[in-house]
Amino acid sequence: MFDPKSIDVLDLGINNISSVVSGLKAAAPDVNVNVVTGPEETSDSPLLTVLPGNGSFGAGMGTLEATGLGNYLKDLAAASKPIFGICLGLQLLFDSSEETPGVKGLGLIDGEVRRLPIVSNTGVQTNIGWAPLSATGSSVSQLNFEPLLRDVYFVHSYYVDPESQEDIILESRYENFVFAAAVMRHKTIGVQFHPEKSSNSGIEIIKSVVEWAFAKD
Amino acid sequence: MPKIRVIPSILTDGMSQVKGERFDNWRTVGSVQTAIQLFQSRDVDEIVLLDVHATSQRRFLDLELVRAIAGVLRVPLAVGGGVTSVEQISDLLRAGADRVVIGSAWYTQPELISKAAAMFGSQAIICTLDCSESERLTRLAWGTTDSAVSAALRLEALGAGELLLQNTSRDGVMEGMDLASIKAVSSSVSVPVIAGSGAGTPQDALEALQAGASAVAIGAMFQFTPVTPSQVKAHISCQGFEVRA
Repeated sequence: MFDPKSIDVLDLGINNISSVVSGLKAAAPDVNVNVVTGPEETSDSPLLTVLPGNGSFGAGMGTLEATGLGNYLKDLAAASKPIFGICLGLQLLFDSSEETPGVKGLGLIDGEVRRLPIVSNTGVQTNIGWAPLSATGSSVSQLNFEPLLRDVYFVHSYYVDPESQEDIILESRYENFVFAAAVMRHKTIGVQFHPEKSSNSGIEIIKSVVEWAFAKD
Repeated sequence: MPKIRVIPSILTDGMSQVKGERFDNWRTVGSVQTAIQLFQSRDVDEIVLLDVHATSQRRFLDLELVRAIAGVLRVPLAVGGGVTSVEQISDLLRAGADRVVIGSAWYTQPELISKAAAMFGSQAIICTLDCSESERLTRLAWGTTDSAVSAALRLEALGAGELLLQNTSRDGVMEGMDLASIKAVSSSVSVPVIAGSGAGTPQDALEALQAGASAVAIGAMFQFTPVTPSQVKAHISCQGFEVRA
């Protein structure tokens, strides 16, 4: 379908994406949001393609390969079309993950996905809850995140570790462990938190990503 | 340490929003969707929705209701009511819930908790501990002789990600929370304890946190008094507890 102002949301079928769709609609009310389960359903020229996701790295890559959406995303990136990964969607952009050794990721951002360390005596290795963001000052950041540094909602046991520290545009902390909360390389951006579950601050972040994607080069 | 969460708890009979006193005298107080939208506009940290009659009426929480709420809600959603199988948990998560609350089923089939934690991750599983005053705080409501602490330790070992501590004689009456049980349970386990039942003032919520809770679930106070979630947060943050910025 041709629509000059459309966003595609890839549905990997692992979990519910209605809150992602609703967050995008709230952030960009005049834009068409299409839910897509295969390359044949994608918009002709989406201004932004969103890859949400929960669940394991292996299951996510399996679906991307089986549906052909993995190659579709690689083509988008090669053509410098904006891609926005959320949570597992961010992790899938990387080369590989300790969660599912031996499975290759999309490789759009160089680096690995690693298990969060044990940071307290509880043995818990999952970061759940609201936490603050801080800007790294990386020169690659084309987003205006400064006014948006309110707490956002995280649920994850793995974090991304890009080869180039310059790819990291926002950081957060899990106890004392600092990890990448948002990364960006060329026209590919990803966030580890859930902007769609982060109340008004999350909507503001989605809005700034949409504005960045829609801006003319 | 993660930020302290203030969680409005919304009870339903499967259709409307209801409120009770001491797990009894249920009455309708409005629509679930209206309550959700009000709390969303008040920028709460999370919402818990429980179907209080699902187990006794052998029903299961309405998936359409969960889907409708998840479609508009922009904070995490925990839901429960009559959950007895991993298939139901999967359905609720696919309908848009972030966490599923398991009540009586964990007692009758503890293996449900370990299976669900392995399939969906501990973060998706909350278990309720219903304490009762007459049994000296630490007996479970349905008459087992287990103490709340031993039950909490067992649930943590099975993989529960959080515990929702309720009290059957304090629920809905706004006369203060069961601080003794909150203290006993939260000092024994490392998973977060959500304190529910009995908060009537912001001070009650503060005392639950001082007793060791990581979050407070509040029903009646937000339904029947002018106190708002942000007033509760303001009160607890003056006492040194970190709330969401």
